[in-house]
Amino acid sequence: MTTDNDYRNPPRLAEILLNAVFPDGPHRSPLGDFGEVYNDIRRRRGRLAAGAWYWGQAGRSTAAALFRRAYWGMRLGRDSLRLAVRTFRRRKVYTLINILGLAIGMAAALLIMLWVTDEQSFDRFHAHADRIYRVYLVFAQENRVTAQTQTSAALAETLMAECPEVERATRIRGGGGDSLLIKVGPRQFNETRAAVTDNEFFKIFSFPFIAGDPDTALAAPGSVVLSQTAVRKYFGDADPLGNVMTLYGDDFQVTGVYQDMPPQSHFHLDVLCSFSSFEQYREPVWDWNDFKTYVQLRPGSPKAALQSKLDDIVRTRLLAGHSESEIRQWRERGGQWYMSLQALTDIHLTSRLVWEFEANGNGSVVRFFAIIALFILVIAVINYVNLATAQSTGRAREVGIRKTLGSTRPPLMGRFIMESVLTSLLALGLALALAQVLLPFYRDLVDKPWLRVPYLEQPLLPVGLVALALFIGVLAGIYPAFVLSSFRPISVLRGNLSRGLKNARLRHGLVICQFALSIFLLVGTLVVQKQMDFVQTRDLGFRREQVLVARTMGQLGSKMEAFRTALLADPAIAAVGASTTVPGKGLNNLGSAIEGTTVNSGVNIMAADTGFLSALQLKMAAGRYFSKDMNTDDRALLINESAVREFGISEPLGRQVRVSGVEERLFHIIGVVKDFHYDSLHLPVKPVLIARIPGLYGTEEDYVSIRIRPPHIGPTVERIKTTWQEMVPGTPFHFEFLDSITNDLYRTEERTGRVFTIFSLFALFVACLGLLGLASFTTEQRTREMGIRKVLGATAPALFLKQAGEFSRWVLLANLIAWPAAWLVMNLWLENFAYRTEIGPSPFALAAGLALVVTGLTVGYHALRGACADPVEALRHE
Amino acid sequence: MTILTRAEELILVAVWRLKEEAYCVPIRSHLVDVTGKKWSFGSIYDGLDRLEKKGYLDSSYSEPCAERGGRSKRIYRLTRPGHEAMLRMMEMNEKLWAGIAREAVEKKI
Repeated sequence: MTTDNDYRNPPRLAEILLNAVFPDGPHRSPLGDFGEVYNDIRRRRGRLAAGAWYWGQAGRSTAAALFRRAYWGMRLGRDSLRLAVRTFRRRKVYTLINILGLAIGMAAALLIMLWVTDEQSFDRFHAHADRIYRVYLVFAQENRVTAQTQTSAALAETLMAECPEVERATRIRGGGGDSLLIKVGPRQFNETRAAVTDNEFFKIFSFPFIAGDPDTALAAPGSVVLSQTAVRKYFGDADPLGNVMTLYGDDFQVTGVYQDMPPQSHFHLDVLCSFSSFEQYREPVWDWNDFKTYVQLRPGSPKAALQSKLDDIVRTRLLAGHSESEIRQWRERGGQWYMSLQALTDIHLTSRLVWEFEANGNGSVVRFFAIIALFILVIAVINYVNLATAQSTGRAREVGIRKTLGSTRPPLMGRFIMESVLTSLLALGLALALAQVLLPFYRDLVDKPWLRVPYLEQPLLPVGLVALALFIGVLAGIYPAFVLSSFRPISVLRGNLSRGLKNARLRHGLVICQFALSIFLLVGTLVVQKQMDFVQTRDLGFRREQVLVARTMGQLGSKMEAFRTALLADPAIAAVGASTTVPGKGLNNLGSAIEGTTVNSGVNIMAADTGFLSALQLKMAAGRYFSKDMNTDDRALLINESAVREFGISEPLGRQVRVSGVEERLFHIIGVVKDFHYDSLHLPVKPVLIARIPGLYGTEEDYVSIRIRPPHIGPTVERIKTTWQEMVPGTPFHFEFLDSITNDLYRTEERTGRVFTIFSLFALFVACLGLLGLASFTTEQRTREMGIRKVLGATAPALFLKQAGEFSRWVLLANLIAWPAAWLVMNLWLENFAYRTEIGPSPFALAAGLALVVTGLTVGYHALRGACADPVEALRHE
Repeated sequence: MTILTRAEELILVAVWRLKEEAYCVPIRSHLVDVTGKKWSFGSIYDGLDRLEKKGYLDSSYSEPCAERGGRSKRIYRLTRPGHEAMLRMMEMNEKLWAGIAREAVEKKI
C-alpha cells in the first residue's frame, strides 16, 4: 500500500514541540530525522506505535530542554541576585539613598498621576459618553462676548423632532448652587442640588436606579426622583417611593431613587423634578435661556451634521422677526449669536462658560502636573544614574578582578543592570507603601476624598507598575553598567584608575539639571504664594472680616425691617444690610442707557438697602448713599467709579439713567461708590449700578449681611439664629461668612498652590539625596588630595570652602537655568488674574537662597569631615 | 592531543564508516547495532555538535528529500584533523589493548 516515497506527516503538535527544542534553521534537518524514523516505524509497526514513539520523543526532549533552561536560568539569576544583595549590604548608605530617592520619586509620580487620571476620567462612566454633547450659546455685541451653558427650553424638543442625527435630547434647569426650599411634612430643608429635568435624562446619562422605573420616573407631572443621599436626608430609612414632598410650592411624589452621582461627574444633583410639572416651561419661548441642553447623537453621526441645524434654529427661531438686512447690519457691527456643541467628556477640563453647574477643572493644570510627575520621576532616575556612576571608581577594582578572571563585558553589564533593576523593584515596593501612607493627606490636599490606587479595578495596574519599575531599572542601569564594565583591568589593577574624571562633566550636568527643576518648582510655589497673599490682603473696597451673610431665599419679605431692628438691638451687631447679591455671588447684567449720552450698553446691576453700605463698609467717592428718610430714593441709583470712567460722564450726580427690563424706568444718580471687587480678582472691575431695595423690579433681598463686632462671634451667631427663627419659624437658617465666600473664589488656585508646594519640596528632597550621595562620594575620593593639601599648609576652613564652593557653583548655575523658565511660566499663570502681584526678585532670591542653604546643609557635613580629617589618616591609604 | 569521550569516538568512527550516508538517522541505527544500546537523537546531535565545534567534522545540507517530508539531511564529513584524531585514537587503542589477545589465548580465558 505505501511506498517508500509516500511520506506521512507525524503528529503536528509534537512536531512543533520538537522544532522548538531542536531548531536548525530553514533546513529543519532534525525534524527530517524524526520524520524519517517515524515513517519507518509506521511502515513496520503501524500508525499507533509510530505516533507513540514520536510523542515520546517530543515529550522527553521538551521536558529535558525546559528543565535545563530553568535550572541554568535560576543558577545565573540566583548568583547575580546574591551578588547584588552583597553589594547592597556592603554599601548601605548609597543603597538606601538610591532606593529612597527612587521610591520618593515614584510615590510622588504615582500620587500625581492618580489625580491626573481622575481629572481626565470625568463623565466617561456614561455608557454613551462619546455620543453626548452639550449645546452652548454664544452672544456677542459691542465687543462683549458671552458664552453660556444655558439655552431655551424649547431647544431640546426641537432638536429631537427635527434632527435625524439626534437620538435623544434633555434639558436641565437649576442645580448651579441655587437654594430651593423643600418641605417634607412639617420639616423644611434647604436644598442646593435640586433641578428640573425631563424623562430623557436617565436615558442619556447612566445613573443606575435603585428603586422605581428609570424609563418613566420623570414622565408624569408632579414626579420627583431622589438620590440615595437625598432619601436619607428627607426620609431617613423609610421607603421613599410614593411619598410626597413640597417643592416650588407644589406637591411632588417620589417615583424613583438613583445611586448618588459619582464624583467624576461635572454635575451632582440630588433632587430631580419632572419637567412636565411646569406648564410655563412648555411654551416655546426662545429668549428665555435658563436650561442646559444635552443631546445624544445616533451612533456614527458626526457632530458637524448638527451644527448647520443649530445655525438654522438661530436664524428661524432666535432671530425670528428680524429682517435679513437688520441682521446683516448687526453682524457688521460685531454682533454674533450662535449655538454650538461641546463634547460631554471635554466639559470638565475645558469648559469655562457662564453658568456652569460647578467649577470645572483646568486642562492645562492637569497637563502641567502630568509633566511634573514625569519630571520628578526623571529626577529620581537621574539621581540613580548619577550615584551609580559616581561609585564607579569604588567598584573599578572589582570589575578589574572579574575581567582578569575571564568575565566578559555582557555578563558584567548584566550584573550591574540586575542591581539597578533590584533597586528599582525595592523602590517600587517602598513607593507603594509610601503612597498608601500619604494617601489620606493627599486626598485632603487635592479635595478628592475618593482617591485611591485602583489595584482591584485595574488588574493591569500592578503589572504595569512592575513593568515600569523594570523599565526604570534597566534604563537607569544601562549607563552605569556601560561605564563600569568599560574599565580596563590592567590600568585598574595597576592602581592608576581614571578616578571617574571622564564622566565628571556628565555627572555635574545631571546634578545641575535636577536642581534646576527643583528651583523652577520652588519659584513657582513662591509666586503662587505671593499671589495668594496679594489676593487675601488686597483692599477689596469693602471689609470682608466678621460679616455673616444669611441667605433668605425670599422668606423674610416685609419682615426685613423688623429683623434689622431686632438685630441692631444687640450691642454685638454693628450693621445689617440686605441686598440682591454679595461680593462673590455674581451680578445680573441688564441693558441700560444714560440720558444725554450715547452710552447704551449692558451693565452689572444689583440692589441693596440702606444698611448695606455700613454692613460691608463700602466707601463713597462722591454724593450720598440711600437714606431711610428720603422716599425719592426709590428712583435713586448709585454707580461705581468704573462706571463713571467707562461712561465718560464728568458730572455723574443727578444724571438720569434708563435701565431696560425694569419697566424702562428712569433713575437718577445720587452717589458714586468707590470701586469694590464684587467678583474675584481674576476679573477687572466693570461698571456697576446699585439700585435701592425695594425699588428695582419689586426685588426681594436674597442676602442679609450682618457685621458683627468682635470678639465673641460664636454666641452672636447663635443669637442671630434665634432671632431668625422667631421671625420666620420653621425656615432653615443658612449662612456663610463673607471672607470664606471671597476666599472660595480662589479655591482652584489655593489647591494648585498647595500641590505645588508639596511637590516642589519632594523634588528638592530627592535632588538633595542625590547631592548627599555625590558629596559623600567626592569627599571619600578626594581624601588623599585633601591630605596632601593639608600637609602643604592648607587650613581646614579653606578646604571646606573649596569643597562647599564647588557644590554651590553648580546650584548657582542651576538657578540661572531655572529662572527664565520659571519667570515665563509664572507670568503666564498670573495672567489669569486681572489684579496681580509683580513677580519681583524676591521669589527668585528666596528659591536660590533656600537651594543654597539646603546644599550647604547637605554637603556641609561631608565637606567638613574631609577638611578636618587628619592628613596622616588620609595619606596612610596608600 | 585531545582525548575524545567514548561517545564522541564512536560517532566519529560511525561518520567515517557511513561516508555519504553519514547523517543522524543511519549514524544512530549503526551505533545501536554496534553497541546494542539505545541511543537518543539528542545524544547523537550533541556529539555531532561537539565534534563539529572541535573542527573534526564538517557538515552540509543535502537537497530536500521526499521521504523526510521535504526536509534536508545534514550530512557530516570528517575533516583532516578529524581523520588524524581518528587515527590517533586507533593508535592509542591499539597500544592500550596490545598483548591482551595473546594473554587471553595463553591463559585460556
